[in-house]
Amino acid sequence: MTDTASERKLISSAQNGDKKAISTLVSKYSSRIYAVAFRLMQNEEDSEDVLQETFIIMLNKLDTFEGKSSLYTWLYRVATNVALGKLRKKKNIDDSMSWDKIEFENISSLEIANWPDHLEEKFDAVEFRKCLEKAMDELPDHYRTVFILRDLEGHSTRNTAQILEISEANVKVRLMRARLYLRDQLAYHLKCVNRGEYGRQ
Amino acid sequence: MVDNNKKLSDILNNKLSDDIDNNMVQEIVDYIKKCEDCKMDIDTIQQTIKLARTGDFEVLIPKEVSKRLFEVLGLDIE
Repeated sequence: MTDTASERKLISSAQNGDKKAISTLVSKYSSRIYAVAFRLMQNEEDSEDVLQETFIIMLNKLDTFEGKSSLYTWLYRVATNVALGKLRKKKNIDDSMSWDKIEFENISSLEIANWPDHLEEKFDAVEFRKCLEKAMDELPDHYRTVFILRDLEGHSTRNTAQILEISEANVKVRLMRARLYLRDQLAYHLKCVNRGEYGRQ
Repeated sequence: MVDNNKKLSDILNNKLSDDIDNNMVQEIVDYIKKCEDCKMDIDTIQQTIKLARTGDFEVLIPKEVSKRLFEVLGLDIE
């Protein structure tokens, strides 16, 4: 039996109320859902909330799951929506306001000098982690989510589009903007400019 | 440099809504080959992704979080 066939059988059993099958699905996907929740929420408490809400929704809605996408993609979509909803509530700001904070149109116009090879070896790991977290935190959620799903979690453009229910073109645009913004922020936060070695000029 | 970046950015943006065919890929590759600034731009973006992956860490679900999840769902831990 292929993985897909065994997964379909498992889902079917879970849809019929088989608790063992449900437990197997929860065991199978909880680690990955927790990981993406943690990357989005950046703290354990909120990540646990997202994890629990995601699987409560799975229990309640599993009978409506038609298998148009994989259960994995479906769970990611639920988790991402729950997380983004929480982030919006937390920040208490409208999405459009956070999008306006960054002038994306000007990012690609910045002049960037070449970076030296093996850049990562020049940074203190803790300092770099802080810089990255700060830069990621400043990125509006809709851009950060795409960057996390594509570049950190390794999802394809198509899968990311399915998870976020946006077009593939939109994924590409958001990803490009997120990468450019992070590139500039990393250079800035690491005070590369002042050293005159690399970064903005 | 700004003009070159803008031109590359325009090419990419204009074509992002469509599937990029082989001719367009070749056009972009040819353009980048001739554009030192574009190569630098792409290099630094690639390094950013690499750095982000290096700085990223494996997130593991804590045992107690997993235990509480199963409790909340009314399920037995496998």
